[in-house]
Amino acid sequence: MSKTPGDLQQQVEEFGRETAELLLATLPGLPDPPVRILQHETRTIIGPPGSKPLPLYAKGQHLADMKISIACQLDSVGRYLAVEESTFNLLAVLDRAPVLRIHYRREANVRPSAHVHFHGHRGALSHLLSQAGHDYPHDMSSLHIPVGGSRFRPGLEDFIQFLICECKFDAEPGWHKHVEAGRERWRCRQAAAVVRDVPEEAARVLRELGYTVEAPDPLPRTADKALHHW
Amino acid sequence: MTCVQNVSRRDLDKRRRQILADIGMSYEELAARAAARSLVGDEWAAWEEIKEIDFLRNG
Repeated sequence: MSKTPGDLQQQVEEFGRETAELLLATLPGLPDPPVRILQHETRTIIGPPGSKPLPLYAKGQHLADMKISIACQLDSVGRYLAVEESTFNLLAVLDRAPVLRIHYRREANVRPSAHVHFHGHRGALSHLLSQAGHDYPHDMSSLHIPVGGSRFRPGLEDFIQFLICECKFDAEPGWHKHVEAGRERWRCRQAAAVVRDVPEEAARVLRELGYTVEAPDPLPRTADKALHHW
Repeated sequence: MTCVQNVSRRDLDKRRRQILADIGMSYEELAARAAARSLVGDEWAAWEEIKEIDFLRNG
């Protein structure tokens, strides 16, 4: 059964609310609300208000910005809100350019669907890419470093924890429990998607755990793309 | 409170023109700079917002 437009609105609002609450509970000095939802027909973008990046502080000093953008629409069967593309960017205030980008594109064909771009310089890497015939050997950010594909990619919670724990940006007191709760939600949703990808495998594991699982007739199809694409 | 803001095709087209006017480039020029991995400064933000608008417009 297809969801109605009302259901889509509800799913979008819930996703936007979860994203806003996570950001406000983890990173200090953000505008409230930290995200706005733009909708045109059945497509939606969740991102910062006015498309302005969100400030990141280290010891109270505004040193960097983060830009998040999550593009959604109903999935191919018209039931669930699907993320078509997402970007989590860390930008330096100094030059307003990215330092790091975590990018996901559902319909990626040649590139890995979930990947990291690191914007840096390393002479030895440029040399070896040049020798290997890479098109942009001078630009480390041209590499799409794969990070788990569509189902096992990092979530916004991972990016926030990276900013706090690895980059040492300021955090709100008690941020960790909000990141963990959000990650649990994210991974449960991804686990549900994996079960839909490989229902026979999911049923086999459930039977091993003692559940009684009856196969429907006809059997649902395995999602080859989700299993094979990098 | 996070609210859904419904935007029309006209709103999107207007914002798209404004972004390009602010950085003084045509879409083709900006896209060419992105493809050549030559974006600098505010061009990054402009390119990202143009891609968001085009996602919404192509629904």
